[in-house]
Amino acid sequence: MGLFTELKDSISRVTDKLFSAQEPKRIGIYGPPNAGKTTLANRIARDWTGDAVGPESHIPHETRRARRKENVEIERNGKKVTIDIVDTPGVTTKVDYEEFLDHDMEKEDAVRRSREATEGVAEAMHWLREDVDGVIYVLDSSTDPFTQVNTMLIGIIESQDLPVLILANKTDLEESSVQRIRNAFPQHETIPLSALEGDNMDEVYAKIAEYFG
Amino acid sequence: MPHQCTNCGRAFEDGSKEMLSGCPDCGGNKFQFLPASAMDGAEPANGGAGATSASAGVGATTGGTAPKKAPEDSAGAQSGANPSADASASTGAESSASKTGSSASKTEEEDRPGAMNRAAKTVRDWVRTGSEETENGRKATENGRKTTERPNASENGTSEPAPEDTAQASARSDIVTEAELPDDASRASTAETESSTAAGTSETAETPAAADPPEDAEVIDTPDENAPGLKELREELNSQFESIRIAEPGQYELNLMELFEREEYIIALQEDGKYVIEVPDGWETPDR
Repeated sequence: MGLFTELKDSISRVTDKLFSAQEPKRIGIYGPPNAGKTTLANRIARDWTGDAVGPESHIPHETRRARRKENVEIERNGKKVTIDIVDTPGVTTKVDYEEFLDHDMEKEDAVRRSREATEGVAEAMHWLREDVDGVIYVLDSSTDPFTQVNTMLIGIIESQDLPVLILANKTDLEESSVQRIRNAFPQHETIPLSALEGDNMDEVYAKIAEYFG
Repeated sequence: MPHQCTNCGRAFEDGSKEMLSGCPDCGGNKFQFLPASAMDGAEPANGGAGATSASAGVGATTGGTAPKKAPEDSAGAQSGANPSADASASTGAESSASKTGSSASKTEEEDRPGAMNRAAKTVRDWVRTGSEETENGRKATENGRKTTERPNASENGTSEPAPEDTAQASARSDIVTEAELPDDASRASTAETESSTAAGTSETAETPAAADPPEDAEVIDTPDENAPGLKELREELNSQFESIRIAEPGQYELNLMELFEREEYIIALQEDGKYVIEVPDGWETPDR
């Protein structure tokens, strides 16, 4: 295997050098369930490619498989970046089918959704381990950001030395508090937005170009 | 009182014919022989049944004239009384006491094939996995351990069984020779090999005999002391090494750190608790 590995390594070194400039960075959209990750991914994809990434829903764990939109070209202030957007399932430490029963779902469907959501979290964590070059961390600014999941994920992202942009989503809601999120993660820049309404997307794109360009 | 029924504790004089057809009190047919020299130290300990015989065992061995069978019996009798084995570890015969402790806990596992055995195995597996995974952490611990080595162990040679036996022998009185201890020693070293981790065996020359087994014995003791806490222990262990815990179908608890750290990737869950995983490239066989 030695020779083969060496050969493979040297080829990948050469290709890395050749394409590193053009290779689009893979940016993972992470966050807890129902933070608006898919809404944001769709907003970005529609704005720059015309296509959507996946269905949005107010029921948590609508996204249960990571979905990718490749070669999204974002241009801001004369700076052009090409990124692959990965919309990931919401990360949580507990998935309970009973929470879906409130949304008029049959038990069988709720249990299946629960299982798929759990697989989705495993997938999201796996992507974070090796497959993303940067993270857009989406939080619902109308809810408390001091949670175990947020602390743990931000910690993992920091430990991986990945560039991270924190987005305080849902500023269109009355209970929204961007400052609360700034206080929770003072070491990172927090950008307010409403992905649903398209508010403040200009700043979001400028920051994406700055962070991941 | 040189003969004692191991069942009810009734004592018989040396040469007594009463016991030839079994203990007249309980019908038991197992007796232990306690020589007069051992009786002086061990007398108070023999009052009860098995629970306090740990100290009797040590005392008998120290007396030196005990037959080979005596330590074995006391080790067997200790199976339900590990705390007293721990207590006797501080009496000066450290290495022998800890060996007896580990063999006693082994006996305990064999005696109780049910929940206890599983829990003990779980703990052992967990400890083993933990030590394999945290390679660096382990090395740090090794360094720490070297500094706390007992001078006794570092003085004696380098090969594994020899220093233990001499240490054992010197810790005991001079009367007991190594030749008299083959059963005990071989049994203890087997128990030790079983209980050491993969890394432990590779550097046992540096590891004092008492370093690993008491650790192991202590972990196994814990559920014994508070049997009701066994469930909590299992839950705690589950939470530490499972990446996904299925509380019941449709209800899952996830260990994010574990999911993040594991190399293989869970792609599908099944209702019976099985995972389907994607095997990472690094696991491919070298000859491909």
